[in-house]
Amino acid sequence: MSNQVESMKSTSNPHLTIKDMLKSIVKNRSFGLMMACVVLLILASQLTPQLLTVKSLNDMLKNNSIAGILAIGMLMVLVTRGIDLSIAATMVFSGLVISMINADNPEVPIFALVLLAILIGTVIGIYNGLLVSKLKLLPIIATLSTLYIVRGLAYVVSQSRWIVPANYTNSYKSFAVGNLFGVNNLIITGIIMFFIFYVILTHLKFGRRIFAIGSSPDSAEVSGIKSDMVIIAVYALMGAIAGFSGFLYTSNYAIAQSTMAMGMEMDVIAICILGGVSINGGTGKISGIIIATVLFAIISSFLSMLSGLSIWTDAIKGVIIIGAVILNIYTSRSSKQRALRERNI
Amino acid sequence: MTTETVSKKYRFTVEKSNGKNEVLKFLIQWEMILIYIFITFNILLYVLNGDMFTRSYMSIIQAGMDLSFMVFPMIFILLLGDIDVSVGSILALSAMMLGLVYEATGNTVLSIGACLLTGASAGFLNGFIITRFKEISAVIVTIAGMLFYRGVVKIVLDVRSLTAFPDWFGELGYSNFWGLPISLWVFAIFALIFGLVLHKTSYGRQLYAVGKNKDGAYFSGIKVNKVKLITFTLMGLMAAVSAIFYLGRSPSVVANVGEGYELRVIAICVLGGVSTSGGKGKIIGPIIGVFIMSFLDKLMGYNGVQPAARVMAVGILLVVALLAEKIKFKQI
Repeated sequence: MSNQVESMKSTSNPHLTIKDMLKSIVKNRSFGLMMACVVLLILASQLTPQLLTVKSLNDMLKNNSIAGILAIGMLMVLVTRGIDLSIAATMVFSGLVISMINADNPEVPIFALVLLAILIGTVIGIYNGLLVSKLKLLPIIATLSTLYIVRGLAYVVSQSRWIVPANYTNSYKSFAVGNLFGVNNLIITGIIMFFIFYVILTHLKFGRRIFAIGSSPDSAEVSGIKSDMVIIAVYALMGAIAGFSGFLYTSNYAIAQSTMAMGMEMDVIAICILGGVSINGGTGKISGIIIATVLFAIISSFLSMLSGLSIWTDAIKGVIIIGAVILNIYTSRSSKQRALRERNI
Repeated sequence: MTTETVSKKYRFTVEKSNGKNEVLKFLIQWEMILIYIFITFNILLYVLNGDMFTRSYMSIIQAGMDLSFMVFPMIFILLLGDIDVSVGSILALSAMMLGLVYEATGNTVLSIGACLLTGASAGFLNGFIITRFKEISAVIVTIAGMLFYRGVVKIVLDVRSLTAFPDWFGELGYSNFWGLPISLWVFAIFALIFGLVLHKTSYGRQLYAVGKNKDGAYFSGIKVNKVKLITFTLMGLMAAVSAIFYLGRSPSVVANVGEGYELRVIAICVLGGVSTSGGKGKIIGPIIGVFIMSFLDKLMGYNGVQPAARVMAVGILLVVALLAEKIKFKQI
């Protein structure tokens, strides 16, 4: 919001001074997040010197890239005024299914497994989308029930079986270990996904429609957007991303069982809110998500590196969510005031 | 002119509703359907596990009572059009506080007081943030609250478990009084109080008014923020009451106590016919819902369904109840 106002202002004014530019950079929300990143990195490097090596930076981003990829889908869902709590369950379910297939039939190609995972996720996503759009259920309750159904399904399918690293084929595991130009495959995947969805959200009709529905459902309907179809598509995409993440997650940790990744949806929501996505819909940017993912990665690896801090994770996440939401509100309030002030002049 | 047409219309409906229709209407209303479901579960239990049915009927009811106290304030919150997903964590926090204070002092009254105070203040904190920042929905505040309160429990307890509690707590969970479980008596008393508050006091009417039209309620002089604050505090307080009864049944507190209770409580309310969009619902439906839920749980448990799969059934029940609600209000 504030960025839009600033950019409009800057384009309308031909005599852009350096002072104005600096002002707009400092007032930008992403700038604040980046400063938080830098401060935290400096602090972390002083407290735990082993954090600032290429290897640990790579690891840090690798382990959080899955949450970042999920946050892309969550961004779209949140923009349409929805929320999806079932993503971690979907991820675990699809990951578990393809892990079991991989363990029992090593000859099935990885490519087919990834497609299957995406398919499973899409089906669950479409189910969520139907509940939310056609049956008009409250997204949080509808997806909460999906969470429990899919978790239960994962348990029933696996019959409390554990897939351990020895069960996987090497080609399955090697995806998350391999790297391109020294950067881990998972991070590369994350960057590609960020790029694809940046294009979708900012340059395609579909992206515009998502934002239109989020900022005003009624006027979107009046202007001829088929809201139901778009919402189903958004949830289906979210499901597809979650299904794909199932492959990434099981490949990364080389383990699969029905109770893993409990509460990961909260991490994803935290990343989105930290990245400036409004929970009331209509606002959200991929760039915010990227910076928030990096910030989140720094925080979580910081917590895990200092001994005794790991039990603080949940409480700190709670504080981050509420703090970020309150920060979002103050920025939107102040940008509204600024917009009013500008109109008066 | 308008009064005339209204009265005409009224007379018309009065004339039309003869005895037969009214009986039919009474028989197919949602609360009656819930009773049919309850009876069906009873019959199923009797057919499948006859010995359990006769021997441990009361203990089935007892098993579902610990979370039932959270159902009443959750009805209020849903009536407001809000939701609270932090109740499981508040339960854990209050139970932990009770255990810690009892461990330190050995004083029953003090520890129960600390428990209730903790619950109420956690609820108050939720309500405070929700009313202070109107742009944030209750969903996100209580999600953050869920993480935060659970996080505090994890920090304090880590891998430890608290097991020292007053001896008579077991009585709350397992004993009978005049042939009925003590927890059921307490449940009945609370049901009466909350029922009267909801349907007979101005506060109860304000809940409906706020849920139906928040702005309208505000402009007609209802202090919306005050109503919300009271309701969320009440939710925390009742989560603490639930914590006491939870400890009565299983006297140990570990970091993951009460996880997933929020879903069960919400599911019971929705099953009982409380609309999630606010303003619609009665107290009687969820009361029957409490019994349906505990019978469903035991029915599956006795027939060898694993706990993780039982959760799935709760999820399915929730969806079905939501859809039934939509069909009832003809929104589809």
